[in-house]
Amino acid sequence: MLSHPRDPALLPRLGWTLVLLALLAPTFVYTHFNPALLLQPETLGTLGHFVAGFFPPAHEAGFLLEVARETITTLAVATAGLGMALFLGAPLAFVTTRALDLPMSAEARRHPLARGLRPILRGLMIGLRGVPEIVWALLFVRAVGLGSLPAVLALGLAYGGMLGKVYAEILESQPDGPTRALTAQGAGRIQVFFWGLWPQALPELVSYTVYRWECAIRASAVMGFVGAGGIGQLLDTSIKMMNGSEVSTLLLVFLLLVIGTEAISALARRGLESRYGSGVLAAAVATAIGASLAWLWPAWAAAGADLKALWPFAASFFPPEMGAAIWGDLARGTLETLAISILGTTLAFAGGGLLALPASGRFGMPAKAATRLLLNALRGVPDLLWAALAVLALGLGPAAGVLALALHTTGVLGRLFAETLENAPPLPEQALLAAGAGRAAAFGHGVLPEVIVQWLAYTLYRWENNIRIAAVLGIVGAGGLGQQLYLALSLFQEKTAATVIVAMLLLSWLAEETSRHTRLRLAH
Amino acid sequence: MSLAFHDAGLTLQGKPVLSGLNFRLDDGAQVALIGPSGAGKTSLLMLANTLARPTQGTVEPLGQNPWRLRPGPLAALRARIGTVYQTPPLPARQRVVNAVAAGRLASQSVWGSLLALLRPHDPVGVSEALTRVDLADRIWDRCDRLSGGQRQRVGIARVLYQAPRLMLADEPVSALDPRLAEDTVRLLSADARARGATLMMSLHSVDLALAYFPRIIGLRAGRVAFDLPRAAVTSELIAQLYAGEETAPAPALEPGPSALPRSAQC
Repeated sequence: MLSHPRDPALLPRLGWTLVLLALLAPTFVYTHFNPALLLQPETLGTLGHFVAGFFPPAHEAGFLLEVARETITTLAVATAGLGMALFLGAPLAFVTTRALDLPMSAEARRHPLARGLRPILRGLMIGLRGVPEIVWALLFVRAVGLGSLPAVLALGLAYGGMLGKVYAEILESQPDGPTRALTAQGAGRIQVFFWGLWPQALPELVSYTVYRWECAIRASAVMGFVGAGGIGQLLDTSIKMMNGSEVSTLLLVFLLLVIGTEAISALARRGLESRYGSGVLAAAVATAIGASLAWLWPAWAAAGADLKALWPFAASFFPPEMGAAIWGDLARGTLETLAISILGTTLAFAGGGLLALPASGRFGMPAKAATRLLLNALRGVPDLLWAALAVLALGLGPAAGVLALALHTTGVLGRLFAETLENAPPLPEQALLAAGAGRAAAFGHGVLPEVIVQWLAYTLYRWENNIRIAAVLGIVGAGGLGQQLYLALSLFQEKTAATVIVAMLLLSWLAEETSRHTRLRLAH
Repeated sequence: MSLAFHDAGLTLQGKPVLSGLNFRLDDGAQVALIGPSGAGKTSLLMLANTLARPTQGTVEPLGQNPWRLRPGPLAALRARIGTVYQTPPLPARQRVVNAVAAGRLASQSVWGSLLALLRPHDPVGVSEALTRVDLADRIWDRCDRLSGGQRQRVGIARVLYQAPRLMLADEPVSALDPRLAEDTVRLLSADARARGATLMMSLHSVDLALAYFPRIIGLRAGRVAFDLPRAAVTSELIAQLYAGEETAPAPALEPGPSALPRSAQC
């Protein structure tokens, strides 16, 4: 008699499924997310009316002129902000990277000051990039007033911390043969950097910087939602006025901007390979930053922002509010943020997985091109902008946040999933098809096991991102901690705002740890 | 004294890599280091060029203990030690002229060396060094456009240009065809002899070692198996040195899922 031993994986699988369901069920409650709401006649009516207004896009000369001006401001803010981030991040990376730590005698090791300084600088960078740029912008608007200056400062600080960390990592990931050889023949730290590390790391550094500039443009385009100038300010007004034709013009301009910057950044990456490419690129960057500052300066001078006001403003956040009254609100906001991020990401996992099939070319070229276009549009519109639009459809509250996260993240994950599908080895599936399996069965048994762990890992990484975003969506009224932050700052309760920011940082740290542990489990 | 090992040993992650090394090289000595793969030849050379710190005993290149020196004197000592690496340490995209000129970085000011990245410093001297490895025509090329053998010769030209007192070479001819390999060993040996410098070279080929080096050190399992003048090295000794099973390298670990590409982070 054959015995039928029980599958040892059965119970753990059942357990994890239950855990996931137990996590997912309350998220619907906390976010009041109800897909059926989207299909209700009155929602559809409002939306239909709004979308019908999209055609034709607004094209009065006065409006277009304003759009042009704000578009240039958006570009200038992104460029100047990235310039500031470079000035901040590059030295931070040079000092904190481990790539230049090479064998030395005990006496010759780093200066004690540098040794003590490094952990402090690393901590500073964590703080700088931990607070989302839109929150920095919100704070600077309160401190130095409306306009583009807060946007530049916000991008400079947040991206400065990010560039510092990523540059250091890029340097550490280079082959260490050249740096070790130069050290072994007596070259100093600066020499080792420029002669051994710089030549090989340059392409990756440039490509990441250019990519950050694309991010900066998207971020700069939504800074207007907190009063920090640019095209976002116009979008904010037009959305609040439910002016469909203006919104459609602005969205078109925005998508053109995103496509244009992608083209420019591709050009920059390729230019680096040519003979005088790096020289031309450096000159172009310097010119762009100079021109941006020249464009922004008149408004800053006219506003007469007083940077000295920053200190008393910063001081007003201390000590953070710890009174009993705040804890209830804080707990509710945290749970809501958590729920938005989990539900939004889960929906995006499903959406991304479904769209990845046609996007990887499984249903022919036309379907592939069309899905790619859809994914790019979903991804190209920043989450905050999706949230502003979702608030129109679902009303104020966390449900709009869920929808916004789901839409944007579907675009991101769909593209990544499609890439893993394209890179998966074709043989297992072909063998199953040749053995007579149906298409779905062949996919499920031949492809899915190959890609699913990577899909889950991507989703977890993206969830880390999303929890940060979920924490700020409240700025446009889409629930979570951001709503409380916005309220506290509007009421000049800086100490309460400080507590909310600390809660955001803790939550995002907690998410990173959870995700890291889960990914480690997945890998085994 | 050009290089002295006193009871030196190296333990990495709890595993002894080298132990009980005791030998000295006089000024102008020429020594070949042979032994099976995994015997510790590279580690020994890295102890000698100050990239690795001995975990037992001391290693004194050029009569100084590098691990007791302050940064200035340490850099000065390192400037007088030159190493040819098995994998030439050339950054991709760097031009050959700078890859060779890097041999004398330690004697330049920081600003001088930064300017030299834009306008190479001593193209004549560099081109002389390249002529000796037969690569003078590639001086303005980028290193990543050279073949493996050419890259290895650029690494050799760098050390020739550095003109160190103590010259270390870790299988410097592994990527060269036999003819070129022989020429190159002869070149390094003649260069060291002409300058009165000391040369220690690890070699895969026992024939090359016996043909060009008066003294041979045989290394096996991290210990010196023999340290003899060439005439005393018998084929029996060689057979013992290489006897036993080939140790296969450990299989690479299955990589986990990859991280989010940087282009999907905002």
